[in-house]
Amino acid sequence: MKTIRLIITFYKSFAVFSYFITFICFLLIYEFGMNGNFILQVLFWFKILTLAITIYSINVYKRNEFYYYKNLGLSKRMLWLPILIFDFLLFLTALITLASNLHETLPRS
Amino acid sequence: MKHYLEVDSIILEFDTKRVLQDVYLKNETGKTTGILGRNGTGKTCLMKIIYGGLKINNKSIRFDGKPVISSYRNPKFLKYLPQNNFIPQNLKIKRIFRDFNLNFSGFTKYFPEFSKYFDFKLKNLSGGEKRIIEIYIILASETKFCMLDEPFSHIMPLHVSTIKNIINDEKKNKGIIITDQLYEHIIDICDEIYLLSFGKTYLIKDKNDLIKLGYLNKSLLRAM
Repeated sequence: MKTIRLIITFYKSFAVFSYFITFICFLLIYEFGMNGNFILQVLFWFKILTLAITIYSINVYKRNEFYYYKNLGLSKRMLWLPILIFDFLLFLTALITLASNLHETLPRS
Repeated sequence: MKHYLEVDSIILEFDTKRVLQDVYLKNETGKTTGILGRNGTGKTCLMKIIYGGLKINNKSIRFDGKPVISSYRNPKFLKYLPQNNFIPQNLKIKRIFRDFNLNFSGFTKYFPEFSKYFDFKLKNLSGGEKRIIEIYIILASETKFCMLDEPFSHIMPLHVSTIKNIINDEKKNKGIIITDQLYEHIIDICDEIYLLSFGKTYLIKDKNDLIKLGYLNKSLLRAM
């Protein structure tokens, strides 16, 4: 329980930025969804890129805070791994749901 | 039960500059070990290597005689106070104490003026007050060894004296390794002192060794 609480605390420090990126992706797919798979591929790699930038920035700017978690038994890997899996799965689930809904509502050619 | 922490065979190089090459350090339950050294001699690097934050190939770190290979450190065995503030600023004081399984009343026995801060966020405290909380949670939480990097910086003299009392109380149950440029306090509280100079550690027997090895000059020693 304590481990989960600590991981959530760490996630909170950049979750707003991550959700903002996901929201931008949804806007783009809503706007350009009729372009089919191309926009999905672009957004997939865009999300990967922003996650990589997030990891780098947090590792640099919050490097001292990792000692807090390490002193409580959580290494960097133990913090990042569950967060990245959750964040990316959330993005993928929402993306696929939105894309399939758009596909159903589009007029068939 | 006594526990032992030993470090040797460390070689640390940055490009062509060898920072650490002939280091031996030993600490045990019930003892405070001090590390002194000029700026840039590798005191912080040595602590980071012991804590697993700085990964190098050539090192030998042993807890109770058993070598430690991985960079993971069980906090029940070793905790580390880094030089800079490390607690996330948005956390409340009560949450920090809960995370470290510490009783806030135990803390306010040493620092009664902090009792009003229980529900405060860390970011609302001054730099010195933040440091006191950091020092306390590392010193007082359950562990067999703790390392303190520059604990006395930014702390007012009255509180330095209280921190020295906490160190003396806590060393009954753990081993403490400490480094600071305020060498008078290190000399005062440590059972053993090592001087780090040109990559090597020297066990200091008396204050004259600090002059011989170029850490102090005679006028400073007379003033002590």
